[in-house]
Amino acid sequence: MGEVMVITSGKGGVGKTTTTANIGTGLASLGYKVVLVDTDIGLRNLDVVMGLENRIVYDIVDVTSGQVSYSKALIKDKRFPDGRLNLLPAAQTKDKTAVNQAQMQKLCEDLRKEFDFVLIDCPAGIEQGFKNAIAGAEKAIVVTTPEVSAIRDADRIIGLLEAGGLRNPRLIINRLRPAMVKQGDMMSIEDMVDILAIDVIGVVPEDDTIVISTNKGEPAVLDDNSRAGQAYRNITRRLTGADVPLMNLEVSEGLFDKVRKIFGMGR
Amino acid sequence: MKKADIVIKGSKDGLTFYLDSQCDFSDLVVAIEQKLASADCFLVGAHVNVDVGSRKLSEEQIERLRILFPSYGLILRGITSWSDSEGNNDEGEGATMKGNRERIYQIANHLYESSERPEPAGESSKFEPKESIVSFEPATTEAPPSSLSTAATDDGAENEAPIITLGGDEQTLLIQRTLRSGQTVRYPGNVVILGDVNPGAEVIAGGNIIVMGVFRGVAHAGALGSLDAVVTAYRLRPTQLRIANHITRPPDEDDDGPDHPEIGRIRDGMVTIERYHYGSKSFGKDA
Repeated sequence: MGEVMVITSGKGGVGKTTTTANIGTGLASLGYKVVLVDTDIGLRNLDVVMGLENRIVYDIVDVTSGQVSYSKALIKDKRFPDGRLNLLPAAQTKDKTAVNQAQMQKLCEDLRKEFDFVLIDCPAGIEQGFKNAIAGAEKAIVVTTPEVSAIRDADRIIGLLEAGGLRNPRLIINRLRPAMVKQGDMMSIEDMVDILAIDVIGVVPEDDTIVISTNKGEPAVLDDNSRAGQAYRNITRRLTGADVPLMNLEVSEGLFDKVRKIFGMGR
Repeated sequence: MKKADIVIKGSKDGLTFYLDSQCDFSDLVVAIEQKLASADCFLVGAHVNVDVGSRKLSEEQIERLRILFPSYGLILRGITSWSDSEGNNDEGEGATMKGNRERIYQIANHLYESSERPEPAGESSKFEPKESIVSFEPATTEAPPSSLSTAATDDGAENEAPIITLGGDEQTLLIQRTLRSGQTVRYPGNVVILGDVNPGAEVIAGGNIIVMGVFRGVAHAGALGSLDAVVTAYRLRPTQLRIANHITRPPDEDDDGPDHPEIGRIRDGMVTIERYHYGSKSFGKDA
């Protein structure tokens, strides 16, 4: 039985889809069988980030409504010839009400029998789409950026996840700019952990290569020269149980030690 | 089944809930809860009269209403009934069931008398101060007897009695987790939180609020009108601090407060925040 993991944030634009694409690709490159489920019905873009848009025939609504089996709708990623990495795309011409929670639970139940990891890309917001996305999940990853508004929304989401029975979600801090943190112009990892009080599973630095890789449909995790890609590779390994220290984000040794301490305590 | 119908009318005396007299009582309760929940904290502290029409209420039903309104932070002043019941109950609440248009439940006599409602002259003699307070004593038996017994016997203390006795305010709710954005706690008594209260979370208490953690949200102590209520926190950094009818916020330039526990309360008509000293008589009502 695989793990069903939802990747969520509350606020839009913090990098849920990018994170889903990179973690999924990273897990596949470690040899796991992975399926990515895009639940952002009506505003799909995980397929674009993965570079698989032009291969969509069936989508999640076709599957949950029982018109086709999920195996027919899954798109196999061409980068992994043995079909380890799969995408179940969202429907673009419908809206969030086209799927309900019971259908999502059944879908996740079916998928986890075949795959090691089922990663669910959650839409922004806390309405129907969010409820659908978390319905079948047993673990959650909350993505945030070092902004007060994103932290506020992440806090709300963590509360809602707990209310939905998803305890102890893990945090990914995305788009951190260590130089700004050092100058005191950006929230530090400590500041964020102070409020959210959940385990940090990774910190992804701001990195221009993400923009390029997203536009090309090539997840940065496959790019050995990308710092963000390195961060995602580390997150991937932590998700599989490996003990990987947070990467040095080129900040003073003191802060790095503190960060490592937080992470060490969190685990 | 007929849909539970509720009409709410406001006057300078507060709100009056006119309840449908035909449908199931349980439907009414559900409908009231929906109304109160949808009003959010807009109605907190409002005075409420309930008119149940010709419905005859059992003691359990009166009790249900009596608990229902305070749990949403409203002050129930009275229940009025047009019931023509024989009134074969014994003294206390039962006695007030007789006759036309009677108040079958009331918080305190002085509130009742200030009401504009016309009362049958012959019946009004039943509402003597002591009896009216005794009538809701059953619900307060589990509360500490000291303060309540004085409220029940000492007429001089009656001005403060309604708030103290309402919903058994000496009771305390213990919450052992962090309140996150969007989460709200409402309780007619005291609230103690072992954890943080994050920005975007609200704590609304009829009594005091004590937080053994960082308070960053919105606090409303004494939401039922008690000016004695206090807010204490290990670190007090509220978005907004409300006590009774006072609303304050921290000064704009102040980014980080001091690193010690603090207490907020009303002094000389203003909300003041000071360092909390262990052992001082600063907590709550002075003994």
